[in-house]
Amino acid sequence: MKPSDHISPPNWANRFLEWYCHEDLLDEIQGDLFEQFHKNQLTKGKHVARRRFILDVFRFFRPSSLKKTQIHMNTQIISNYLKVAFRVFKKEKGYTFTNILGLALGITCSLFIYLWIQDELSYNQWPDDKDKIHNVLVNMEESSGIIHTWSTTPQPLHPILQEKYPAIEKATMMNWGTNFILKKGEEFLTINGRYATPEVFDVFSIPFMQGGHQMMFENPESIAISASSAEKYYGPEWQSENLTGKHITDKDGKSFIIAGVFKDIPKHSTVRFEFIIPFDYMLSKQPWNKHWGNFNHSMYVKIADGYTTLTAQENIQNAISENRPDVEMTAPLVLQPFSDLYLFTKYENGQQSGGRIDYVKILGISAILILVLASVNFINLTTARSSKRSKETGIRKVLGAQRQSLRSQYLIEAMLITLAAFIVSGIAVALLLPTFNQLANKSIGIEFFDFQFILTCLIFIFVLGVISGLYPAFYMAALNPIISMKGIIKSDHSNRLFRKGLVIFQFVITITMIIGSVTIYEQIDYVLYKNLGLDRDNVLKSSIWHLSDTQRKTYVSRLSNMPGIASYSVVNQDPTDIANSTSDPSWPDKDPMMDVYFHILGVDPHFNEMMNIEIVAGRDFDMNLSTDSTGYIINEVTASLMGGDEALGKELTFWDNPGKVIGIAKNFHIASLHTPIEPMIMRIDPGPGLLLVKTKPGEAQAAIKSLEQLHNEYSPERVFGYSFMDDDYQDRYQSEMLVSELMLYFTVVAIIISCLGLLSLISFSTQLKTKEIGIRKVLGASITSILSLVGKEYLVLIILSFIIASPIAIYIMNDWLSQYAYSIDLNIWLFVIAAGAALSITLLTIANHAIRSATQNPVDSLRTE
Amino acid sequence: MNESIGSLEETILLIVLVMQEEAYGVSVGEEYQKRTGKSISIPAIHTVLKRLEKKGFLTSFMGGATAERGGRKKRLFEITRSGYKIIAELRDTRNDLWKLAPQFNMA
Repeated sequence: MKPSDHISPPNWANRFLEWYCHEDLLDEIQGDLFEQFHKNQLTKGKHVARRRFILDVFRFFRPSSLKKTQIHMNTQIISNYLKVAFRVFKKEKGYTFTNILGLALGITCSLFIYLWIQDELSYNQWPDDKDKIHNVLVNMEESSGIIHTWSTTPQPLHPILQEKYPAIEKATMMNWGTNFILKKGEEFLTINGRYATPEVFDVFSIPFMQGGHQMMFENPESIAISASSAEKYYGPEWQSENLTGKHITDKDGKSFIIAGVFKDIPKHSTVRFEFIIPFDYMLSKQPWNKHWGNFNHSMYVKIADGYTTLTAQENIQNAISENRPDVEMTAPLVLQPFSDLYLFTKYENGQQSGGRIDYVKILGISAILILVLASVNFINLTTARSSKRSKETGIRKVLGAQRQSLRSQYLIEAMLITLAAFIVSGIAVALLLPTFNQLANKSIGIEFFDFQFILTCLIFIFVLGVISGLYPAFYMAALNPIISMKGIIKSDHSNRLFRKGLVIFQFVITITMIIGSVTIYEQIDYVLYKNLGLDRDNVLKSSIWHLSDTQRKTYVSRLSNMPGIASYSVVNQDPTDIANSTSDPSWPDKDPMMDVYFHILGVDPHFNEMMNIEIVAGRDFDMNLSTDSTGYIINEVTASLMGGDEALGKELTFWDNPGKVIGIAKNFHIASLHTPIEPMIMRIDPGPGLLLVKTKPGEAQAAIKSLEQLHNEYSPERVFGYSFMDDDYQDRYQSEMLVSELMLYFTVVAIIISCLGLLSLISFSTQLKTKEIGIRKVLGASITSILSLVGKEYLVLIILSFIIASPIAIYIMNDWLSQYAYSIDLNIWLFVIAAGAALSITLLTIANHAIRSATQNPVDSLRTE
Repeated sequence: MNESIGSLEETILLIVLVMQEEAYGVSVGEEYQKRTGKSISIPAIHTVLKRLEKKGFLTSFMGGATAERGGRKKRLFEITRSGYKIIAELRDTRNDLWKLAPQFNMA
């Protein structure tokens, strides 16, 4: 046979065989497999031969052919390991307790975060074709180059997307929500839903329990309701009759025919509704929505087979510029996968830039760090204790124990401790889950006996046990028996260096976390209590859009005499959260190239006075001047665009309403503090209305009562709803507040874990030095000098870790703060506080132990010799 | 010795008994395929041979190496006295039973 004909069996499989196979069996097994391979190759071809060879190698991988060293752990030895392990745990209760406590704290924290992250990740995963569903976003570019990403689209885009673009299988357009008030006997029942094109059921593959959505295409006065709202209205037995074709009437007597009953939308969804009324019905009431220039509603599409997010996006990118007949505009469309809608909400300059996912990441990393801290603790404690067990190790070695078996002994002990810690934290999680749910505003449950959960936990225990036990196991097994039996480990320089390294590592993490959580806390505090430029304290919000014009006038005019009410104003939206914007405003000398979006706030003449908004130039609205209906008050940002102080008196036109700038208001925050203050124009137009009521100090309850009384008089069919402007404002920062709070808890846990580690290390080193301390005392050393003898070493470590941690913390926190347009500065005090905290904790830990040994009677410590 | 024996074990034992050349993993496997028409993997043969050896029906020693085995030696098997005895007993039992069987028209 020529050498070139010689094809050898797969090398890796052969090496694997040689690795596991017992030496005595290797000859026959490998020989037979080679021979068979050779024969197979001649008769059946090399591919079959190779496959057979690999298969056979794995078939031989069984206990009878394994090397003896790989199955050294027979049951007897394991039971001996367990026995020794439990004896050690019993003998060293303090050490075992510290170890388990540290690990359990870490595991509990990470378990909670694991549950939280799982819950966050489960949003929007419910539709069958979730990978195909996308939200259509629009990138609008200003002349300044800033790109705004809108999640609203113009109505005419809907039919065009569906008909002209092959990438789109189905598209649905929906409004942002509406409600439907049913009268059931004497009670009123409100359900929340949307106006949407009937394709919504195709796009999201929502199954019907009765009927279907066919009727909705033809009849705009039809309605589809969810199973739970059918149950609410028709009672629990609703399924016994067919609701399709029945009429359902709202409290105003408007009746809709039921097209079908659909299955409830799961809770973990950004799009939820209890009923759908065809979008055409809304269009017939509000025909102005049928306009290319009105970006008002959200659009979801299902992309066709064979398209990815990217290719579909390429396909429809220019749908607006290609089809809009009246105006030329470039507004590229962007597709965002439905499953990303919850976590990836932020767009910066047309690019995805995070969102809630940032918090998922922050907390995820913290969870891992805490686990690392806990296992570092374990490593540190165990290696420090090695001297205590060096005699045992030495004797085992002398009696012939191999390194392998010593290693597995220590690994098993590590696993046992991890297992115990896991059980402790399992109990802790079960007990604390309700509290956590309340804190995180979630309703997470755990299935402890779920197969997958148990499997995950077992893998977790194994990995954590191996990570924490590996170094101690190798270290202990490698000890020289002669030295270790003498009980000397002081000479071991590298071990001490390693332990010091671990302490530094722990404290770097802890100090970074202290600085981080204090910064986050301060920033959130700053955000929550910042002076927004308007006085939002004691302001009640209540919507009155359902009242007719005349009703509203009498309603509002009666307010001023009611108890508890200091002043009031009607606006068209919450002034701290203005949503709409337009590029329409123009003035005589406006740069024609300027393309900036202005926020428009509709107010009544009381607004600025009531909210304490300072007018820096010009005057406020005057309710006695009818001309003020064409007067505008602009904020300072708008003023700077219009030429600073010269803006006053300039003509300003938008939405075909020519008017004049009569005043300039000091900037106040009209959106979240993440974004800088943007141009804003106020005009007299309270619209259908949001009522703002300033309560007299301390009389909030009276004011609420007054409002409720009025409400019940005018619209008894509606549930009275109100909120405090301040609460609403805080609610917008809920996820930030949650992260801030969790980070604080985490930091406390990190501190505790690090201190546990430090404590046991110090107690160990003072034990080693018992005699030294005794002799020093006999020779006349003071308590302070003994304290410094023990403490010096550790203080240096803490200072060193502080020096390492500071730049890391500065870097991370500056990065985090940069997402806010308005933020605190990282100041020196923060670091002083962090350093002070770390040092004082260390000192306390040290003092506790060292004082005990320092005040001990030297006779006791020296007598044993 | 009252070790029991399975039907695959019995076949392999017979093959080892009748084989003219050296009986080892690969050759027994080939012979098995030739005689029964069924294929069998090397690991399976090894298992059976091991079991038979453990029960005392076979004995083995290490034999020569060839180039196509990558220079690895073979483990050669021979049937023992008790191995011969057990298949002979099995055959006798069967023959006795067959004698009692009624004629059965296969056609």
